Amino acid sequence: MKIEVPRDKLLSNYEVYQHLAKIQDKNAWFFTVPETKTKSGKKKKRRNIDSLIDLEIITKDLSRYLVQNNQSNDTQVQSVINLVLGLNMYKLEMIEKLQILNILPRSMVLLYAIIEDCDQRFSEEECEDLLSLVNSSFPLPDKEEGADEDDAGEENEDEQMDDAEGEENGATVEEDEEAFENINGDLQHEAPGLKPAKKEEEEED
Amino acid sequence: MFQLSIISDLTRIPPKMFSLPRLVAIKQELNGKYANKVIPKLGLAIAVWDVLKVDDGMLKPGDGSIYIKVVFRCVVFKPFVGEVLTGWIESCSEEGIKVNMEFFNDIFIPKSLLFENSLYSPKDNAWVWQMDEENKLYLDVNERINFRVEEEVFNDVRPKGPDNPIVFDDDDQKENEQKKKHSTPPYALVASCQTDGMGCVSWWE
Repeated sequence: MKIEVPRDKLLSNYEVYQHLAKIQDKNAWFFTVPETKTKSGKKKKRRNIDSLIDLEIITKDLSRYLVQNNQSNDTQVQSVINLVLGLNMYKLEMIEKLQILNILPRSMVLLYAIIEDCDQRFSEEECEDLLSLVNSSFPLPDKEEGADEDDAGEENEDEQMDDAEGEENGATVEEDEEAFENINGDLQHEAPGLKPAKKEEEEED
Repeated sequence: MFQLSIISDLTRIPPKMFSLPRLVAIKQELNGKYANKVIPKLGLAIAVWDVLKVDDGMLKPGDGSIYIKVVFRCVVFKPFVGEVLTGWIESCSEEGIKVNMEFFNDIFIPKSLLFENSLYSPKDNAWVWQMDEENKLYLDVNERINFRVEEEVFNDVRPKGPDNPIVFDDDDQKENEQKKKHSTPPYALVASCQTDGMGCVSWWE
């Protein structure tokens, strides 16, 4: 074994959760994703492979953890894109954007904890704007009962159908994913300059 | 919290997996080898993200398996120093607080990195933060807390050798059992809980 590149890219919790959801679906494990049926309407058979027991354990624990920390099957790619595009308007370090996306701070205290020297770099107004940006991209569940939820449910079903059949409705989802990767690209563009600085900091510590 | 690392490795595909498509077999082998394992000096491997390069397979005399050199990307849990994470208090002791993240449990907040004026109360089995003369805040077991990563510690854990069947010494066995209980984790995080926004999530809402 050789580690070629220790840190190729940073991943957000959203991406990790999506990846785990795919793994669960493929193996028919269904820890946090809803059960899907095969084409003939039968229950998918759970895959049990001895060598994958560790993958099963970590998938179960980690996906449960992520579900308790802002991730869900209904999270829309679009809301992630909105948030990241909005965050790009501020002079934030890449890791700070990543943490805002992961933690979704709802209070000023938490925002100050995530952003270094927040009081010197941003005015109070800007901080409030950041909080409202988080709130508008990811509304708290108890506030958006009703129409919004129905939409989310429908789209989720669409996605499941994609997984099962792989053709119909595929285009929209693919577009979304493409857009998401572009965003990821945006993040990465800024990364090279920031990463070395970050590393130096760590070494100094 | 998560990152992608590029790793190259020689995988061994045993004959029973020849019926699977090559890429599926490789991913299964890699997941079996890496998932939920700590990679020294890197972090906790979660799952294979994708396979970048697959070399031609090689055969070795006396073995029916194929050996293939592959380059792949792996999701790795490796929080950076200064990152804010959320977890649950697993246990409190005089030395500090042990935090649990469901999929990762080796996080410790030593007493020197807790809030100032914190005291351990053996009666409640909890740490108490004496905020001012009147207000006391309790860090109870199973509370959800935010903490900041301060340091990561890697320990070289050697594989356990085979038990010696010739020596039947009771003392030796007891020692071994004790060692098992206090075995050092291969990858541990030292965290702090000193600034605003840290500590119980419910305090800051």
